[in-house]
Amino acid sequence: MRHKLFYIAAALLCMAGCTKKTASDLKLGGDCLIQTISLDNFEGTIDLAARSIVVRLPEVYATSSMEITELTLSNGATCNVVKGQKLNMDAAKGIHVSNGDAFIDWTLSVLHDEARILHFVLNDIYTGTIDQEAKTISAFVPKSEGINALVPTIVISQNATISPLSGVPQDFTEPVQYTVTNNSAKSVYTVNVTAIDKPNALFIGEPANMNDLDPEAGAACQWMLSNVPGALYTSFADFQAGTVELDECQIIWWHYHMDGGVDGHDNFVAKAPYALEAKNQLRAYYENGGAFLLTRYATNLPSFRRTLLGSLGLQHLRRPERAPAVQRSDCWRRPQQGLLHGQRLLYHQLHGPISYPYRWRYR
Amino acid sequence: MKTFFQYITLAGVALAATLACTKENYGDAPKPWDETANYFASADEKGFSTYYTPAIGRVGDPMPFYDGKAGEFKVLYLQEYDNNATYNFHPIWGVSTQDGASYVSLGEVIPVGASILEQDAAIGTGCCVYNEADALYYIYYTGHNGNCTNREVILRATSPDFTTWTKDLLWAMKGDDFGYSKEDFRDPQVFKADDGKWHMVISSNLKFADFVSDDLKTWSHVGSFNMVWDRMCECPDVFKMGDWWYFIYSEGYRAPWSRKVKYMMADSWQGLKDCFGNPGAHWPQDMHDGVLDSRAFYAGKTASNGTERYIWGWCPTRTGATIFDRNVNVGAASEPNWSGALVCHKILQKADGTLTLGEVPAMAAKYNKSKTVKVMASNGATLNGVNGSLKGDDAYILYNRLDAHNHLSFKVTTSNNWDKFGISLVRGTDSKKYYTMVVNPEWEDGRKVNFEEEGEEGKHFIEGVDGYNFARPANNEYKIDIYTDNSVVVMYINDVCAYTQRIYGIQKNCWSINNYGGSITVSDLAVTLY
Repeated sequence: MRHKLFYIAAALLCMAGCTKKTASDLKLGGDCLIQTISLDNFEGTIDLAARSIVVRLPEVYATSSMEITELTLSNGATCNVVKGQKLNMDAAKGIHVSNGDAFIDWTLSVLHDEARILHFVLNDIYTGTIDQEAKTISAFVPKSEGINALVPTIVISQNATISPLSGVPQDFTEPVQYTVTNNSAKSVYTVNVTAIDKPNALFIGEPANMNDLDPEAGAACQWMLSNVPGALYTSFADFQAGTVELDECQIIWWHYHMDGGVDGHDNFVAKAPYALEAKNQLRAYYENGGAFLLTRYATNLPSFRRTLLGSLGLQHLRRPERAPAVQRSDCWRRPQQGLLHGQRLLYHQLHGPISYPYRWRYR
Repeated sequence: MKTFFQYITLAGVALAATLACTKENYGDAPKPWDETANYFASADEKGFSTYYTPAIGRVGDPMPFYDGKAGEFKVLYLQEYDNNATYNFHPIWGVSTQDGASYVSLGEVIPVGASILEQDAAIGTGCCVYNEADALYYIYYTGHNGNCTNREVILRATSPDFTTWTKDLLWAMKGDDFGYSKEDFRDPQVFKADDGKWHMVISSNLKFADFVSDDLKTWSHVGSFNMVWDRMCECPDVFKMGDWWYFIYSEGYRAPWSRKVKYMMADSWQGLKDCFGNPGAHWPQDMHDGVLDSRAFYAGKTASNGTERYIWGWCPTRTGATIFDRNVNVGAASEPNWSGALVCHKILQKADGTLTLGEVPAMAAKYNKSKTVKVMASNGATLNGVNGSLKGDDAYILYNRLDAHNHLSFKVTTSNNWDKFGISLVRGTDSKKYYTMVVNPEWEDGRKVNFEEEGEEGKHFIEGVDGYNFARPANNEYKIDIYTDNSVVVMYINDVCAYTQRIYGIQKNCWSINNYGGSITVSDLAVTLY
């Protein structure tokens, strides 16, 4: 009898423990899709995987007040915007669609038809400077490359097409026109390539390709190639190998930056060994009357004066043997950067000829 | 059946026996805190309730305002986390307070954008104002996202009840539309100027912008005015008190003497703008160029309930491997850590219109539990209970351990115009390093609070976190009130000096009053807590 009571009690306890619910109270059955959406009657392209909608607009179209002219959601879903509402689409907007307890955060953005060339490189090495206003591209290549069959690699705006195609060899003896098309937008760029056998000025750096320079040096190099006629980019390796004609090269500019800095002798040796490896060629160039412009951490280079210049001291850099050719050219007239008109420079320490975006100073 | 009842009885007895076991039978015996004076490695509480810090994360730039409808202050702030996402961070959270001493969390008020492409993926500081005309609260804030064409844009959200907020998806104010920077256009502060209209002042790239509105909705550009030379000034706040207009700002220049909350004073809004003259700046004539506190109080902004005006800022946390590393890591040459604890002071206006920061009236009443003070050690002291006089080098009185929240109140009287004294915290009898706020005679009639790491292994004067110059009291009496809430400490001297600092390790450690060479008297000493 007492065993029976025990078993009954045990069974009651077990049953009490088994009345847990198996279904949640959360309402997750509804969908949270945007089925159609239009802004000012331009239809949005919906990408479910990316949770984003892009509305393509003509090249020129004001976006600060666009009306939602069409909006359909999944059955039962609601969202934080309504048809007829106006949105400032200068920046993307978040559309929060919910259905019961489920939600999806969509990103709604606009994309103007843009037909631009963003990047233009010849033979993977020689980068062209693009003037978006004038729609011109100028590039300098060494004469040894030839000018009849250079292969451009061209980056254009999203959704655009270009003719002639990127990757197809072109004869650049005469200027070549490239047409970029994107829906309503169309631009024609004129590409001028100049072959230089003897550069007037060189921008020197570590990578073989100027595109691989760090952003600061890259901007400096772009400036030089755009503003100093007959300027070319070369790498320390090429310079060391003697593949660049130096007879008419007045000045070599090295702007060297690394995040974290490169101060001090040991740091410099560790981080810029390629510069020191070219010391013989650098010295030979200097003794032949060449000049250096050293900026940012490149200013450490003269401290290796004994390596570079033999027994010469810093204050007593020897005047070149032959009379310097006086360079008179408007490109040197930039007094705010310390370059004096018509003067030969030995070396000049500048701390960045580029005006940095304000925020870099307060990092 | 009888056996069944026996089982029940046994079970009942066992149960009763278990319940009879009290907590005192478990765990370590309580420590004899008041019997020892050696250093103890204490820890902060998870959240602070007076110098408010949430249990998770920290308080960033505060946006205080007085909610007349609800009859309380609300302090919105940027919520900071250790693991902020890369582009989406600093949602606006809020606390409410009646008195600037105790806070209730309101939770999240304005969330950040969900997408990394939205303008307010990250939020910067702004302000809140109630518009009686349409019975809506407005929060103007900064949308910050380097992925957008304009990195910083002014945005707004509204609410009828301070509970449900609707972001205005149509309105945005871009700096480059008015000739300002696309990158820096932030910290909108709305106030009513002396022309009776709403004005919004905005920090941009080394220039402030002034906008005006009749209805708090449509804004037109008035013009720009300088910041202080080439120093970025942020978190502006403008208000009128008595006959004077004041412009509070945080000077963000990265130098040991900068990163402080300062003010300008003038007789009008235009007069305030003219203070940022070109070439220089027209400082208030207050001996310290308008500096209000140390750099351990930043991003200060004010709000008034009509009778009293308070200022809220954040006291930075510090990083480092040990508390000794953290206590000296004040970011001297650059800047301290961003965000920390919410510190509140009262704005005190002198007869000549100059300002200092003083004690929040409700604080003394909050710290209302009396504590028995005991002298644990002394040197060069003639004791009189817990008070006494100190004479000579290295003279001090070491008091028993502090709690997590303390109010230290005492008077120091110096014997002449040159005596120097200090208050040390985190000081054990075996401490090789401890932390002192030194009231230093900068010159005969000038004093400044210096922060020193004393002890045989101390680094002595710590650059970057000293206070501002203030006048030596004419009668050489210093009335000192120190409030601590975990690792945040605030010291007020005579309503002329306020000094905020972050010192880890205060709780469960002894403290001392020190004399350096001269002769001082300590009187009226009391410690209360809560």
